Amino acid sequence: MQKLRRLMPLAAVAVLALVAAGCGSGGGGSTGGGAGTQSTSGKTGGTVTLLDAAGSVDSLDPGYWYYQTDYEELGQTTQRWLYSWKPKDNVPTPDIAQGPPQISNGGKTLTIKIKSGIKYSPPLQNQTVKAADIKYAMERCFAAPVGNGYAFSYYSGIQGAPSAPTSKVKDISGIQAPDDNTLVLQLKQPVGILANANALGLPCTIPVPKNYAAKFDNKSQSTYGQHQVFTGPYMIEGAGSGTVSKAGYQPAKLISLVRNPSWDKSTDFKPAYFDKIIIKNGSDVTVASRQILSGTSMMSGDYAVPPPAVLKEGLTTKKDQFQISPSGGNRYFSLNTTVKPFDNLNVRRAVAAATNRNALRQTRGGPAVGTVATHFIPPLIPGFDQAGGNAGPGYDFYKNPNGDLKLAASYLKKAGYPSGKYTGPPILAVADNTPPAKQTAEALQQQLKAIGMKLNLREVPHATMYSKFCEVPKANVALCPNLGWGKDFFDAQSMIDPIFNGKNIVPSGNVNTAEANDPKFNSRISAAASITDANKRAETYGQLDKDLTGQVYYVTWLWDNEVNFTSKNVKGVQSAFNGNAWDLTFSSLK
Amino acid sequence: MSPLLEVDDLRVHFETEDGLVKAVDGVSFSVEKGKVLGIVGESGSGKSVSMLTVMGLSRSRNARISGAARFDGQDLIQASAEDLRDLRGNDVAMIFQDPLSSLHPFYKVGRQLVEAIQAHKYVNKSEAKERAIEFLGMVGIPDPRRRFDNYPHEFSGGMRQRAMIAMALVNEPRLLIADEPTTALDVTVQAQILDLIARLQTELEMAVILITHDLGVVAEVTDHIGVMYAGRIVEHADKRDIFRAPEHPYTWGLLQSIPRLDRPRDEPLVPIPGRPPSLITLPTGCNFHPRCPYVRPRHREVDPRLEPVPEDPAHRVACLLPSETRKRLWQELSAGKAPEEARAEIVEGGLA
Amino acid sequence: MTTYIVRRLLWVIVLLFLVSAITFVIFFALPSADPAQLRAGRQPNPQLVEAIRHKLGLDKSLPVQYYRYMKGLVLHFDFGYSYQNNISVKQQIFDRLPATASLAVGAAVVWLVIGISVGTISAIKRRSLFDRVAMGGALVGISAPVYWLGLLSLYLFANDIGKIKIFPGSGSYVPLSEDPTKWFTSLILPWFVLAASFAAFYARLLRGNLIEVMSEDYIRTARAKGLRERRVVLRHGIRSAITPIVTAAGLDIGILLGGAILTESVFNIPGIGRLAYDSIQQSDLPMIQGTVLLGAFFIVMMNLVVDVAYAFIDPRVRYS
Repeated sequence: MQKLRRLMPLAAVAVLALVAAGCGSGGGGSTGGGAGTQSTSGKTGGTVTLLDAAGSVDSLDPGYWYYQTDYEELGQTTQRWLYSWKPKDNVPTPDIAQGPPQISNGGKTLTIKIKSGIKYSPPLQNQTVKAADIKYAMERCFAAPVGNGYAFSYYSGIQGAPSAPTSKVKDISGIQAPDDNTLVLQLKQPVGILANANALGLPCTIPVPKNYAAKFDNKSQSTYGQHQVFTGPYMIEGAGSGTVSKAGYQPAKLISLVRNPSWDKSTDFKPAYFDKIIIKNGSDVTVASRQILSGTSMMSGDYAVPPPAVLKEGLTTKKDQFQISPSGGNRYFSLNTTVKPFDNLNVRRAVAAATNRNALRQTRGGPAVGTVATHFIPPLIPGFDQAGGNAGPGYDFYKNPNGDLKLAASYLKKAGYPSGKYTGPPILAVADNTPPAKQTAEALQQQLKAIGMKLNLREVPHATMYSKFCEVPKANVALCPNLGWGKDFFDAQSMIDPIFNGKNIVPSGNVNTAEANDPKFNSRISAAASITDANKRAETYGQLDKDLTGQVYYVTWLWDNEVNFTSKNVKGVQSAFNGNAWDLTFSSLK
Repeated sequence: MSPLLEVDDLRVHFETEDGLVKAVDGVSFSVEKGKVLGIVGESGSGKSVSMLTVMGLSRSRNARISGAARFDGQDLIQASAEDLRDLRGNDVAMIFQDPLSSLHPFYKVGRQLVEAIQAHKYVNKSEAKERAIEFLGMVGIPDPRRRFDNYPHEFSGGMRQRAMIAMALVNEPRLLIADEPTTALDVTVQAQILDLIARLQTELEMAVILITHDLGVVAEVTDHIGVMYAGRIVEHADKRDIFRAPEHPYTWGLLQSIPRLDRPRDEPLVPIPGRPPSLITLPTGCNFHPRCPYVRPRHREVDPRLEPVPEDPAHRVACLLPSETRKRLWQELSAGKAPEEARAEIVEGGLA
Repeated sequence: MTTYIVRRLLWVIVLLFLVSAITFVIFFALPSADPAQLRAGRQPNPQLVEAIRHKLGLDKSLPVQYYRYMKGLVLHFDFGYSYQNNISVKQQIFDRLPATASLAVGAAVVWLVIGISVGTISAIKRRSLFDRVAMGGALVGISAPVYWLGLLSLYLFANDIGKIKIFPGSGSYVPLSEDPTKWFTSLILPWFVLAASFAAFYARLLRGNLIEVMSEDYIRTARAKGLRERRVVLRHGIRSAITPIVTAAGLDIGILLGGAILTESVFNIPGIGRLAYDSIQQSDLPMIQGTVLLGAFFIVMMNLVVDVAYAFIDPRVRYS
C-alpha cells in the first residue's frame, strides 16, 4: 500500500501531464481547445496585404521577438517553434517537437523528442534541424547581443542558466542535446510552465544552427536576424542568399514574404494558404481601415482601436468582415501602495467603488472593445473561471459596473475621512497622451472628483509614461491610468507573477507598478510556479486572483477585445495565443 | 494754325467713400506746336491729374471724366485704350517728379530705354540700343555706352532725370509733359535740367507742358503760364503778363511768397492765409474766396468764369473783381504794401 | 559675394553644432522614455537593461556621449544607429529623403504656379467676382487642416476608397527610379493637398504685393511709355512683387524638406517627417538627432540660397 502510494504521485503527474499537453483540450482552461467553432479550411493561393500603422517588427532576430506584431508577421509565418499554437487552442501543439515533454526525475528533467527532416531555407537548404540548434537558440536568448526580454523570467529555472545577460553566447549545462533528435532540460526544481510546454511555445525555441549563426552573434549587437535561415512556411523575399535584402524588408516600410522552398507541408500542421504576404507600414489608421473594408485582399494590422466610425460599421453593415474576440489581455490602473493615500486599503477600495468601468470602456469605443472586468485574469486563461469567471469574486466594490458612490463614501469613512470624501492633497497621475488612452485617463479624473479626489494629470508620450514614470518606483507616481497586461501564453503565471510578486519590484522597468509587496502573497505566488498539475495550477492562480483583487492593488476595468477586420474576399483566422491577432498561416482568400 | 493740344472743359471727378472728389473741375487751355506752357499751382490743385487724364492714365473704376482733349484733332478723352497706348511714349511723352522711383529699380537703364523704343518702333535690339545710347548722350550723360548698363540707383539724381528725359524723348514725341521734373533735384541741377528741356524743345520742335508749383521754374522756359487752383485755371496768360501784370489774387499771393533778390532782405514773405479747400466740399461761389483778402459778399455766391481781360484776349482771369480794381491792387502790392493795406486803400476807398 | 557666401557657410556649420547640442540637452533634460528600457522589452531583467544601456553608450556622461556622437559625425559622417531596430541612421534618412524631396518640391511647384497666377489675376481684377471667390477660397485653403484635406481628397478621388476613382490611394508611393509613372500619379493628390494652404497664402501675398506695386511710380512710367498692359503687369509689376514670394518659398521649401509629417502620414509616403515623428515617440535619440540636423541643415541652407538669390533679383542689394 505504501509503495503504491509512493508511486502514485509520479504516475499521476505523468499521466496528467500527458493528458494536459497531449490532447490539446481541457487542461483546466475555461474554453475548449482544439475544436474551434470556425473552420480553418481555405483556398490555396493569392497575395494578401496587411496594413500596419506603425513601424512593424522591432527586429528580424527570432531571439528578440516578444510582441504581438513580431509573432503575427514573422514569428508564426517564417519560423517553426519547438511548440506552436493552433488558432483556437489555449494549449501548445508540438511543432518541431514530436510530442509533449516527458517529465522525469521528480519533475526536474524534461525530455523532448525532435522531429527529423525539417529543413532550413536556402542557403542552408541541405541542413536539417537538430536538437543542438534548439539548445543554441535558447542559450543565445541569454546573451546581451540578442537582448531577449523574457528568457530570464521563464528559463531561469534551468540548471546553469545565467542570472545576468552574458556578453557572448555561453553554453548552458542544463540544456542538453544528447543526440540529433533529443533535447533534455535539467531543472533546478520543477517548473510548471516548462512542464506544460507553455514557456516552450515561445520564439526562443526557434532553431538557430550554431555553425552558421555564431559569427553573427559574436558582436556587441547580433546581426543574425539579417542573415537568418527560415523553417516556416514562408520566408522573407530575397533572403535566400543569406542576407535579407530590400526586396523583402525595408525597415518601417515593407515586409514581403514568399513561400519557403524548404518547407514540407506534410510535417507541419499549418496549411499556409497564401502564396505571398505583403506587410505595409506607416498607414494612417483611418485611411487604412477604409481601404481594407472597401478593397480586396487586405487585412488589418496593429491598430489599437479602430476609429469609431469603422467600429460602428463592424457592428452593423460590415459584420462579416470583422472578428472581435478576447485578446487575452486586460486594462487597469494602478494604485501605488507606497504613496499616500493608497497605502490605506479602504481608500483603495473606495476608489474601486467610485470607478465607473462602463464609462471607461466607452472612451475606447463601447461594448465592442471588451468586457467589463471584475478581476485580473482575463477570459480564456486557466484560472479565469476559478476566480469567478465573468461575475468575479463578488466584492461589493466591483458589484456595480457604473460605480457605487455611496459605497465609496462608506469606505472613505472607514479610512478615516468622516465626511465620506477624500480631503487630502491632489494625487499625481501620469497618463498616455495618445487617444483613446488620453480620454480614458481624463474620464477617470472626472470620476474621482466625485469622491473628492483631485488628480494632477500629466499626459506624456506612451513610451515616456512607462520608462520615465510609471515603471520607475522612484518617480512616486500614485496612480497610472493607462496600464494593461497581456498574457505571454495560456498560463496565469504570466499574468500574476510579474504584476503582484513583490520580488519583481525593480528600480526601472518595474511592471509591479502598485509595488505590491505582501510577504504572504509573495511566497504564495512564487510557490505556484513549481506546480505542474494543470488543474492545480488553475485552482491556485484563480484563488490568488480572488485574494489579490480584494487588496485592490489595481483596479482592473476591462478585459480587452481584439478588433480585426479584412476585405470582403479574405477569410481571416485569428490566433488565440497571439491575442487574437491574425494567424497568417491559416487565413486565406475566399 | 490750330493748337497741337486743346483741352476743353475737362472735368475729372472721383467717386470715393468720403464723397465726390472734384479733382479737375472745368479746365480749358491749349498748347501750340513748339511752344511751352507752364501750369502752376499748389499740390491738390489738379495740375497733375489733368495731365494724367490727357494721357489716359487716370482711367479707373471710380473716375468720372468729361470734356475733351484734342491732340492733333483726335479727342483723347474718347479715344480707346489701344489708341492711347499707341500715342503714349510715341507722340506724347511724360516725365515725372522722382526719377528714382519712376524708373524700375531692377532693370538696367539702357534696357528701359530700349523697351520704350521697341514698344513703338520695329527695330531690332542692337539698333534700339544704338539709339538709346545716342539719346543718353544727347541729354548730357557722359560715357553713355557704359552707362547704358547701369541700374537707376547707380546714377546721381540729376543724371537719373536726364536718363528719364532721354527715355521720354527717344521716339521724338510732339508733346512732352513734364510733371515737376526738377522738384526732387538740387537747385543747381534744376537749372541744368531746365536748360536741357529748353534746348531739346527747340531742337526737336516739341511742345512742352511744364507742371510745377514753383514760379521760379516757369520764369525761364515757358511761353505761357496757367495758374491752377482747386481744380480750375484761375489765370492764363503770356509769361510776361503773369509776372508783370497778374490779375488774380491767388497769382499775387504766389508771386509775393517767392523770395526775390531785388527786394530788401528783411522784407517779410507774404504767405497766402488758409489752406487749399477740400475738393469734395468746395466753397460756394468763388473757390478762392475764403482765402482772398479782397473778398466781397457777392463772391460767396457767384462762381467766376475764366474770361479775357479787356485789351488783351490772350490774358484770361477768373475773378469777380473788376479788372481796373485788380490792376490797382497789384500796383499797391508790388509797391510793397501788405494785402490788408492794399485792400483798405482800394476797395473800401470807394472803388467797387 | 564669394566672401559673403563663405562666411555664411561657416555660420551654417556653427549653427548645426548648436542645434545638435541643444537637441542633446533637450532629449536628456526633458522627460522622455528610457531607450535602454524600451529596447529591453516588456519585463526586462535589470541586468539586461544595464547591458543594453552599456551597449548603447548611455551609461557614459552627457558630454562624453555628445563627444562620441560628434566625433563619429564629423570624422566619419556617421549618424549612429537607431536604438529601435539598430539600423544605420544615415541609411534610413537618405533612404527616405527622396520621398520627402519629391513631395516638397512637387508641392512647391504646384503652389507657386497656382498661387502666382491666382494672385495676379486677383490683383488685376480687384474686387471682381473672380477676386472675391479666389480670396474666399484662399481663406478656406489656409484654414483647412492638412490632415482633413488629405482625408477628404482620398475619400473623393482615391481609386480604392474614393467616390470618383481617379488617383492612386494612400500607400501607393513608389520611388522615381522604380516606376516614374506610378511615382508621379501617386504624388498628385499629396502635392495638391500639401500645396493647398501654401497656394492660398501665396495667392493672398502676391495679390497684396502686386496691388501695392502697381501703384508705384515706375508702373505709371511704364504705362506712360505706351507699353501694353500685359507687359506692364508681368515685366514691371510681377518682377517687383515676386521678391517676397521668392524669400517665402525658399524658407517654406526648406522647412518641408525636413518632413511634412501630416501629409506623409495620411498618404503613407515613407519620408523624413514620419521618421522624425516616430523617433520622437520612441525616444530614439540617434534618429532624432539625425532628422533634426537634417531639417536644420535644409532650413539654414535655404535661407542662404534665398539671400543669395535676392542679390540677383534686386540689383540694389549688395553683399560685402
